[in-house]
Amino acid sequence: MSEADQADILTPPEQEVAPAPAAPPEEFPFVTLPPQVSFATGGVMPPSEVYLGTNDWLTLQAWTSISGLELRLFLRVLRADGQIIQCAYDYWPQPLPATNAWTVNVPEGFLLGGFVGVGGTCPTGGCYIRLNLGAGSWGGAGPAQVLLKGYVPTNGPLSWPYPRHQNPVEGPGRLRRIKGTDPGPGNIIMEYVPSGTRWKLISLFCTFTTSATAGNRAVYLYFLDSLGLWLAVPPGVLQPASSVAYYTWSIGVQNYTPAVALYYAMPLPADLYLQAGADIMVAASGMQAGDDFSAPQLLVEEWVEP
Amino acid sequence: MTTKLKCGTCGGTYQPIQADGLRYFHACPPVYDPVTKVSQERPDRRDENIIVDGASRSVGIRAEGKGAVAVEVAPEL
Repeated sequence: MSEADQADILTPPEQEVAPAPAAPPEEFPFVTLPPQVSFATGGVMPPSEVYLGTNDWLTLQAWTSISGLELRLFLRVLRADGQIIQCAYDYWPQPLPATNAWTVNVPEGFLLGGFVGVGGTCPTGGCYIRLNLGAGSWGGAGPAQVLLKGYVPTNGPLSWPYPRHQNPVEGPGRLRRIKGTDPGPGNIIMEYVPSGTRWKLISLFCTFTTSATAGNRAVYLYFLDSLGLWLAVPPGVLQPASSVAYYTWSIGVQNYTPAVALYYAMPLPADLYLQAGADIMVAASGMQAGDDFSAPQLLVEEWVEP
Repeated sequence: MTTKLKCGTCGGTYQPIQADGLRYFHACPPVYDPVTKVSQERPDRRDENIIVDGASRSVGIRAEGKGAVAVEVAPEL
């Protein structure tokens, strides 16, 4: 390095008043810091691999199952005049099945870093985001680069650079206990995977009360979709009239005759993934008008699936 | 706050807000014939799953059916 270059780096900047920054675009709150050091600008590596041009923009997309969640986007940009701009944005996404998208016009300069975090509690699987960098005229060309995507955890934001990109159904989802609809006498249980989500069914419990009308009942668990029935779990036992039985379908159990009467357990496939709209049905052959299922109790692992 | 609703179409009761604070989207079960094991969609079926417009804004539920009425309301604190 020549003496002149060293002097460029080591010599403190002259104490002169920094030029006033250009008027910011609307909806772009930021603060600026006058530069305390100066840098050589010729023949050196750029400070970041992402340079934001005058027509570039960022789009934050979000999908969440949580109402009232606050999302925070924070950016640091080094402008050509040496000033570092810190930008902070707050958003309140609508819950599923809405797709939320906000576009931010960014100032010209090097993107030094940024993150997306949440205000409040957001369990894993609760909010999936994607931060895109778009190149070209405002509103014209589509995204040119994905800077961030993944679930936003409560205890640590997703950060750029060096993020780990994650697909929405990757990794563990959110554990949920759901109490379904109590169908009333003579009706069957039917639960549906809600729009914009994917479930892994871990267990399902319900009771079945049979009327005095004679005859055995056989309680089945069915899985259906728009193409029809695709999986049936038959019972290991028959339930008589005038009785109350307790049914559990769960991963990790075998179909067995219980030691305690009328407590029945049936198996579920280990990786039973169900997409939005899939039906979970409990019905009984031999069912009578006075027979009554309780509200089903489900344990599911849930992901956001845009 | 309403803690339990009764569907006007199928008569099923459900909690619109679950214990974890998230919404539950009731949809009526079909009418099931235990002899033929054939299920048939219920007339005026209620389906509370959300439909969205082209801009992904919620614009309502899929099917209103015969509505739902509150059968259990949490006492005011």
